[in-house]
Order: sequence, then structure tokens, then C-alpha cells
Amino acid sequence: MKLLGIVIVVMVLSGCQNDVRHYKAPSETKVPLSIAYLNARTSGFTWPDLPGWRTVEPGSAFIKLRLEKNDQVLTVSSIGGDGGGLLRNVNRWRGQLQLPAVTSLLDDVTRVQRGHHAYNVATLRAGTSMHVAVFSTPTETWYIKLIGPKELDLADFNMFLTDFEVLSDH
Amino acid sequence: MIIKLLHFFASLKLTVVLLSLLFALVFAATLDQVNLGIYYAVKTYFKSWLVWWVFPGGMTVGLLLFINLICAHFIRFNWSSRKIGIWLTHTGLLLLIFGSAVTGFFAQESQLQLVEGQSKNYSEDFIDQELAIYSAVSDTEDQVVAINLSDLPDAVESDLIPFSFTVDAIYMNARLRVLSEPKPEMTGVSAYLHLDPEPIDRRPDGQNHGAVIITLRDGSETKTIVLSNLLGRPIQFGEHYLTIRPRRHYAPYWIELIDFTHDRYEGTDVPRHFASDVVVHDTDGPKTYKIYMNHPLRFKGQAYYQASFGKNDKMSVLQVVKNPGWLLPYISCLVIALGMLIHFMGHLIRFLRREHA
Repeated sequence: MKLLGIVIVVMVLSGCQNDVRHYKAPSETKVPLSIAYLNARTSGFTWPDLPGWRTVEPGSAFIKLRLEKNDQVLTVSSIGGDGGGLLRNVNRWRGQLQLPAVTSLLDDVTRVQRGHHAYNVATLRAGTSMHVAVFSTPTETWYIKLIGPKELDLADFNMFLTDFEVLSDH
Repeated sequence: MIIKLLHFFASLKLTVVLLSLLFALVFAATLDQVNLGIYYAVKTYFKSWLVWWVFPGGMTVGLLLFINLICAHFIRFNWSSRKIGIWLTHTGLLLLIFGSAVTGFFAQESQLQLVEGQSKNYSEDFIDQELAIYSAVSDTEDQVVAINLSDLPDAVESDLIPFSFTVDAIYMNARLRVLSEPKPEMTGVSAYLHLDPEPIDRRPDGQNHGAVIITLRDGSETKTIVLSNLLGRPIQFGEHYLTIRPRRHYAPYWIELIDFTHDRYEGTDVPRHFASDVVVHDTDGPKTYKIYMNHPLRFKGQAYYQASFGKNDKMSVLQVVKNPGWLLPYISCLVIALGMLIHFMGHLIRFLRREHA
């Protein structure tokens, strides 16, 4: 009888479906840095103000925005696909700073988690320094790059990142 | 009565009948796989108690074989030192059947697609699609309510969502067409969307695009919307977002694809080697791993296998397997092999002794 009971329980349990699941997950609603959504609406989009910085003509089809302040330059650019891959881009930037190429990203790249979107930040230091936030989506890659003297002031850079808002509509 | 029942379940005749049934199931499933595809063939013939409502399914036959072997151990098998090998072999068989049950009930397979530089903390089911309703509970977290499309009832009310909805239509696979004129019964983007039902694609690499038409009710507001996993984005209703997507299996860590490499044999397009360099971002810091053929990443109960690739070698597709019983087949084979070795060595020793005498 005990065995029969076990058999019945097993049969019933195997027929049970987990109908409604509820759980918490990393945010996909509040994504203040989701530039991919903005790309689709750049015609109506106003870039956030960055006090003390002046807007300069980008000079390239890939660069969406170029800001300058004293000896620092902040650019926002995008490229279709993955832009050649993170490792290749980091080595390209290292080459621009006369630094040798690397085979591992662990020393140069940090992962930042903001809501659902995680993005990579590459920090490279030489005579000139470069700080690049890289946002990857399945269709394009965006780069927010700050170039300046060896000790970069990242306060305005971080403020620029956090001032983006995603406005989704239906 | 109980003794008679035990003798019945221990009977060798029952073993022969059950093995014949198993043979018939395997034969039928192999033939029907052409029509059903491998997933539905396994589900119909092996992960079922009854096939076509009259024939015992794989779970019934497996359970009866398990009971048959256990009863045989205690009723028919003689306990002696000469029978240790046989006892061990049959114990290994019991473990094998038990392991297949654990795998059948608890194993989970899904896939993780990553483009270089991308990271995810979830994998997506191959077959199941879900209606997901989510809203922000903090700056970093959403509360998600998810229901499999195949289990969607006609009407849904839940304490976790402040509105109710009725399901007007469910399509397990449908094409999405954009209309030039809006439908009068709908508003917004949904008014321009039309669903064309398609038969379920049962091929191993087939893709099904689920869709639903639902009417949402929140107090006085009523809205009918079209949801499809071809839309590529969620639909917002108040503070909530609704979407159809492959069922997600979340992990408590993130996997990031750093680089995907694909080597070919010199002068050909024949793949020689492909591998994914990944970083696992867990609570105790990032760790680097290389995933390639026969070298899966095993991490916190999940195994990540290099399965496929795409997007001009910039995307890696990993098969994610969660199977708490993955070791049981190995252990059972070892036990069976040990049992057979002991049994045949015993025979050999007794034979040699007789010859010597």
C-alpha cells in the first residue's frame, strides 16, 4: 500500500505544471543608460547638458556627439554589430596611446552593473588617458569615450552617463 | 495477498514483458521522430505514463522495471558470496533506472546566446515560451510574473499584478504582419499588427514564434493588445510591461562572452576548433574560462557546452544543461562493470581450481 501511495504521488507530481512563476530579476524597466533605445529616436532626442562643456562638430559619421572642456574630450559614437569585438577595440585604443597589445581584458576592463544593462568600462593610462564605456546590444555597439590628461576627472563623465533616461512609449 | 503481489512483481516473466514493451516504445518513437521531432517524440513516448491512452509509456515501464528489479532482489535472488557480482550488477541497473528518472523529472536544457562583449544572467528554453509581465520594484530589480504560453488560462487575475486580463487568442507559432490601416477594435501599435497562425515547427533547429491577443482591464481602462515574440520589445500598460519571449531560466551570476574563436582547416571552410572565452561574474569576483568541444564549463550545478555560433563568428551559442543526476549514469556503469568483473572472476577462479584439482 505504501508503495502504491508513493506511485500515485509521483504520478500526480509529474503531472503538476508550474503554472504561474513569480520572481525578482535585474531591471529591464529602469535602464538609464540604454542608448540602444535612443538610437531609434535620435531625431527627437536632446542630449543631456553637461555644465562647462561645449558642443563641437563631431567631424565623423560614427560620432554622434563631441564635447570639449579644457583638455578633455568626450565623444559618443556607435557602430553596427559588435564593432570588431571588445579585445580588438581595447588593443586599438592601447595602440593609440602607444601601449602594447594585450591578450586578456582583465587588467583594462571592468564590468559595471546598472539595472539590467551591464556594460564594460575600459580605463587606459599613459601620457594621455582614455576612459571608455562600451554598451553592447545584439545590433550595435556604443562607445562613450573620455580622453584627457593622465589623471582624468570622471565626475562629469559619470554624470553624463546617469543623466540618460529611457522613455519607452507604446 | 501481499506475498502474491510481491511474487508477481518479482517474476521473470514480468521482466520479459516489460523489456518487450520498452523495445516496442523505442521502435515506435524512432519511427515517429520523423513526424514529431526529437523533443515531442521523447515527450510522447518516454516522458509519459500512457501513449495513445492505451499503451504504457516510458515512465510506466520504467517504474515497473524498477519495482520488478527491487522485488527480484529480495524474493528471487539468493544471498551468497558467489552471487555478490550478480547483486552488484543489478544494483547498478537499479541506479541507472533511478538516474534516468531523476534526469527525466529534474533535468533542464536551454541555450545561451551571447555576442562578444555581451553578458546575460539567464538562458532561454528551446521549446517553452512565456508571457512575462514585469514592473520595477526598485532601481535595479523588477518583479516578474511569468506563465508558459501552453499553460495560459482564459482569464488571469493575480495578487502580483494590479490588473486582470482575458486571453482572446493564443498562437504557439504565428507570423506577424504590419497592416497599412489600423483595426478599429484596437488602439496604438497593436491596431496595425496582424497574426497569421503557422503550424508548430518540430524540426530540431525549428523556431516557433508564440503570440497572444489579450484584453487588459484596469478599473475603467480596457485595452486589447497583440503580443508576439517577433515584436522585439515589450508593450507597456501603466507601470507594467508585457512581452512574449522564450522561457527564461535565471542564474545567480552573469556570464560575459569576451571572445569567440573559430578556426578552420587550412584552405577550407571545415571547422577545426571553436571556443568561447567567457568571464563568470559571481559574488566572489570574476573568473575566466574557456569553453570548447568536450570541455564544458561546470559552474554551480549548470554545465555550459559549446553548441553553435553565428553572426560571422561574433556570436556564441552555449547549450546549458542543469541535471542533478548527471553523475548517476557514470556511477551505475562503474557498479555494473565491477559486478560483472567480480562475477566472471569468481567463475574463472572456480574453473581454474577445478582444472587444477
